[in-house]
Amino acid sequence: MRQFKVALPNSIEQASALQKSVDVPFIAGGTDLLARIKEYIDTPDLVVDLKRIEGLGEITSTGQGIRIGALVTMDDVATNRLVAEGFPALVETIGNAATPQIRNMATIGGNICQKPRCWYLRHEGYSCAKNGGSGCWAREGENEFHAIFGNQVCAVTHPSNMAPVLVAYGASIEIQSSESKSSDGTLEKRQVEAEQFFLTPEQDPTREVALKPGEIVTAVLLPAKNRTDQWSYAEAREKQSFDWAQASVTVLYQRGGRSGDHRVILGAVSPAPLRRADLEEIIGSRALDADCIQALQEKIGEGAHPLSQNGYKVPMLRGLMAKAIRNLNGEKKEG
Amino acid sequence: MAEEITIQVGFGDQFHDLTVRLQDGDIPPWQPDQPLDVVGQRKPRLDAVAKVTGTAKFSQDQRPDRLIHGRILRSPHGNAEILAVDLTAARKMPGVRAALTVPDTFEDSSARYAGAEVAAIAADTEQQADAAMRAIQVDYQLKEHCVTIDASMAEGAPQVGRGDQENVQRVSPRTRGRRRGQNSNPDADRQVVEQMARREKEVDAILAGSDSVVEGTFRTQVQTHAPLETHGAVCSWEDGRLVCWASTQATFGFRGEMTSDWGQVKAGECRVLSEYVGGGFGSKFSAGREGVIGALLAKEAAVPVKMMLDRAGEQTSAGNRPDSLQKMRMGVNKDGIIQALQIRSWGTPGSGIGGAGAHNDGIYKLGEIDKVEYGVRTNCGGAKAHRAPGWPQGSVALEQMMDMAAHSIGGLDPIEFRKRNDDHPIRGAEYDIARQRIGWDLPRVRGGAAPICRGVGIASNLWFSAGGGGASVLVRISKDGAVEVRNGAQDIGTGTRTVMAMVAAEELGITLEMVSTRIGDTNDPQGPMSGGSTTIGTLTPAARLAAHHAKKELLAVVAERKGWDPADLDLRKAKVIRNDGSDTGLSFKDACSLMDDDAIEVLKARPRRNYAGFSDTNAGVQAAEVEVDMETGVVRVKKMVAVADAGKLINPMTAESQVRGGVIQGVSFALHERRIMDRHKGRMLNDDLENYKILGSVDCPEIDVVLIDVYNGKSNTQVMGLGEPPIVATAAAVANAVADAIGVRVFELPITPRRVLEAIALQETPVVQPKKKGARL
Amino acid sequence: MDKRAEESPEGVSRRHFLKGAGAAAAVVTVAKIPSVVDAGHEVSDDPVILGPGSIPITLKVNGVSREIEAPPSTTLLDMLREYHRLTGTKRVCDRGSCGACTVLLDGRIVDSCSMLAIDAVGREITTVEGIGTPQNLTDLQQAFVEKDALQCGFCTPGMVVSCTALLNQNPTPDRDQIRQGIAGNICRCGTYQNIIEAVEHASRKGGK
Repeated sequence: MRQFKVALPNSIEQASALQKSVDVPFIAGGTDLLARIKEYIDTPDLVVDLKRIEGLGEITSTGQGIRIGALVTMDDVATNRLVAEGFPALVETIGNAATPQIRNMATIGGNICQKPRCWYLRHEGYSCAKNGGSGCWAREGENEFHAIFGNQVCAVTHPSNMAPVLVAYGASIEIQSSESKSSDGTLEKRQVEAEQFFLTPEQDPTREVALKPGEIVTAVLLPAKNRTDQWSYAEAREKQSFDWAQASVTVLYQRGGRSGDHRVILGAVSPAPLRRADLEEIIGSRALDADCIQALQEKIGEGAHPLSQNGYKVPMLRGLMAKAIRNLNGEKKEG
Repeated sequence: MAEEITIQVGFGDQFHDLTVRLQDGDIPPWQPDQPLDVVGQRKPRLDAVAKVTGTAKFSQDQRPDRLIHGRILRSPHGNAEILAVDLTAARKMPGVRAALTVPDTFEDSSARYAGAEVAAIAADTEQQADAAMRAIQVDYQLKEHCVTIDASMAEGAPQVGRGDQENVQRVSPRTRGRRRGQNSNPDADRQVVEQMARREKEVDAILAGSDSVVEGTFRTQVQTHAPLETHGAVCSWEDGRLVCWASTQATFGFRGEMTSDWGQVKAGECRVLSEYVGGGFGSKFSAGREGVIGALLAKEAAVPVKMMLDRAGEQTSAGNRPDSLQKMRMGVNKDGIIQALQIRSWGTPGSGIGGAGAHNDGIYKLGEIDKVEYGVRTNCGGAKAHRAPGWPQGSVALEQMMDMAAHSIGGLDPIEFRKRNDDHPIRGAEYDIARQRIGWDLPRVRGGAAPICRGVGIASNLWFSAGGGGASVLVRISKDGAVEVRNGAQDIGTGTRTVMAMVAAEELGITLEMVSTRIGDTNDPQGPMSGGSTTIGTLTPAARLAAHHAKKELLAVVAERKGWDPADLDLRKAKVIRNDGSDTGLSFKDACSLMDDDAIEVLKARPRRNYAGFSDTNAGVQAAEVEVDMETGVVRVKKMVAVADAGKLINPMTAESQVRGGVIQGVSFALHERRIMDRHKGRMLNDDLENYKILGSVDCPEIDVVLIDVYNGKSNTQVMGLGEPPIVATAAAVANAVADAIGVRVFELPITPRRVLEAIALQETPVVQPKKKGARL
Repeated sequence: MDKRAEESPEGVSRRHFLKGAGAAAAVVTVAKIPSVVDAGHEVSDDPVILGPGSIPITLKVNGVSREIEAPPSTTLLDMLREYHRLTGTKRVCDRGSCGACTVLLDGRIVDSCSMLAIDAVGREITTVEGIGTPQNLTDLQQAFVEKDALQCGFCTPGMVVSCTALLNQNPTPDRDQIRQGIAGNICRCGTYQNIIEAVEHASRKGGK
């Protein structure tokens, strides 16, 4: 691996000030950045280590919900009582993600800011829209695991298992920067809803999240008023020990709720978690029976533009949609 | 003098007498009624403690003084000629002590795949070697590439090879009589083509006369060996002598290459040390270019060099199982007897042409066979022997054809159909065991009738692993009672070391704990490579013979000192006993102390030939039970039953582990592993262990291993190796089980969610008309 | 260790800083160590910047603290293998996919290839060498031996570490929990079932 300098800021202000350009990456768990540096797809001379900043490592109840510090590891999120009680789909999705080792290392902040796993993006020498060039190698190349929705500019899929669930729960991302201080000198906090936090390639192919240089994710906020009435998370992946989801469906269902109260989010089929208001409307408007499942299945592929090798993701989504609704109905949990 | 003896051969309750003429000096095999104290016991490996504590030192862990690090620069282009390599800038980089170019070293400037070696650097630290490697200037002339079998076979495809090498070339039947330096022999070639046409016509006729003809086109993928320890060595020159701590399956082969003129290494002397090897699976028979590079860099730098591949280098360039495209037609009569089989197969061994055959004829009685094989060149890393080379891919096609044929004649039970076309004496019994243990006849939700369906599948294997000549073992009994068994061959994780010691302990009548071993050092007696599953069959008869003669010498000493009759003495349970079983009161240790010399050393070579024996092949049957999620296409193998014959079982525990290992690699091949090549730049996109998917713990099925103890009479230990046999049938059994579960066949491996969903979708839109009977392949 | 560290501009003050970090770490978290001023920085709340050359790094490995000089970009895996000469921990994929480099960090399993050594300062690192010795195997290691839970042995150290952590957290795991516990460790020879049996065996013995 290339040598680089490591900065050890002990405050967000210090860390933020160091990130003078995008070439100075932050490192927390390290599981993503170090791999990119080893592949020479990132070649920073300096990385900013966030591990010594205080106050980012706790999960606390705020009254309006819970606040998960950005440096909390995935495993600590998944085993936290507050999370388990209020946001069970989050626990479920983390259990499916990565490996036990990675879950002990990777942080929630790093998880939602990680770079996509596209194998072109992860190899040196492939210039594309996402890394500052133009075009997409996967669209006419090897794309079995790529996006079927929103893939015209760039066909990466969003790599975070957690992201669709955070969107479903209406999470907000808390962000701070040395640029914006209040009158007393403390850093101001900005909050962005998860749904807006994850960017599509149409918005900006080179960025996956709505962070400006110098901005740091400091926490993930989960609102107390969530839709835990009924939930389900269905995911398919080829291998059950360490593999990436090929598609996932997250459903939150509010008994007696109106159509705007439900959430249907698709994961691993588009560059950002894909909220499907049209599907939410269907589950809000009728009984969750076989007909409803069929209506959802007919609708779910709308808007998909499969590439040469990933057309299977449409029937896979139909299958997952059916499972998600059946699991909501309390049928026996399926693998 | 050759001695003629009568032995019993067979298994279970089926034994018969066989007369064997012992080769000079050999001893009779153990007999079914002979009590054995060590052989047949479940014994932990002798190196297990070193491995579980991390104290086992692999090549990767060697750290001689002043060690520096080597790195290989690889071509990033799918197909290129290396016009020039400039090392000037790289040599000036900090820490650099040696550098070389591949065109100069190997006289090869064709970088025919992305990953081909171009140059190498050695520097004080890995970071420095990395940085210097990136400073090497290379001029390439780029050429078009073909990285898949289809691209290479397409009309107007760019040329993969050089000169007049065609992309697709027939490898069997072979044109003989081609002279050296001649690219073709038109006369001989014409004869072969005529023979092929005649054969095709004959078999066409038999097929046309069969009650039923089934046909299928099958594809299997490229699987990389992916041993966890990468290829390479730590190389050190000491006073002109080369020492290599090598990750190899052939210590003596490695030494031979280092003393040859390959790459001008030409070491006058070379010692190869490989006490622990982190897996090989057939990919580590040669030192490889990385071995030569390591030796040359160490020579130039005049300090030891560690030249181990990184993971990407391992995945792209260190070997793979070739893919296959197999078209088959099988004719079968209503009585369930196979009449004929027509096979056309293609495989891609890399930019070369040989070694991509898909093997399967021999397992069943297939009637008349018409088989033509082609090699297809691609701009990809070269194939290497991979655990039963050619057999798993051939089995995947043949065994699915078997099921299709059974189905075509009124749905004959697939196991019954196999039995009617199989005359192997052991396999007949194995089918029944597999049937019962997989629960073949239990009711299941199958055929796509529910979101989760289950199915079962069956397939068979055979192998030929009784071993052969080419090994000598030294047994040393010291005056203090210490016993050491030595051979220079390696143990790549198969348990060879332990089994060799067990055989010696048995013959010496002592416990395994009293035996120490020394292996993996070419200063010790010649041993075989770990290949063809023959290592154990080759080594153990030599070990037993050496131990036998060492025992005789020890007993002669005892007889002389005590005034006893040497012919009345034997060793058992660490004591000197008389032939009637009575104890002489003398322990093994005390007996040893009677020696005048420091030790008795006996070196014995293995008898070169095997005896006719009872069965020349080891037979196996495997059955799979799978669960398929019809909605997501996800396949999970719930259970595998593996019935295996390993000849006489020395250590059932390590034998069982070998079978489990083969099954797991087979399931991984069936469901997950595949090399993914980028059509744009010709690179391997999953040159890692993230997207190159290897089956993990959660995906691992329950594996029920049934070992058949067979007294085959092939050698004095009657052992047959088990490295390869258990991987032959696994993927085929899984494929058949998937078809049973979902009611439609997936003709291409790996059976991924994508392929399952695509197969189900195809079935729902029946637009393809079945070809009419008798159509040509 | 080589002394090129002295060439680094931070030189002496870095040395003091991390020495302090290592010593203090047992009682306070690293995050609480105040930043230090050095010649390169005028303003007192500028952050510490280390490297790229070697700096002294104090790690507590298997109960023993040692200060060794290495670049701050060194991964924990390379630090353990190349600098501490503990070669039981293996480098296989070097990307966090295979678990061969698994070590315990404050009792939890991590892929040592995928984190910086400096982020392990002040924490308890346990490698396979710190779990049991050939003369004094743990129950789990003994069970690995007895159940033949290894073949080539290259994944074995990582497996032993993962299973040790699993039994520490859950002394009576069921088969599914064992499978999940080693889901981040690849074995190419195919020893998973034997490993599961070994963990069950050790669990029954009530050991770890």
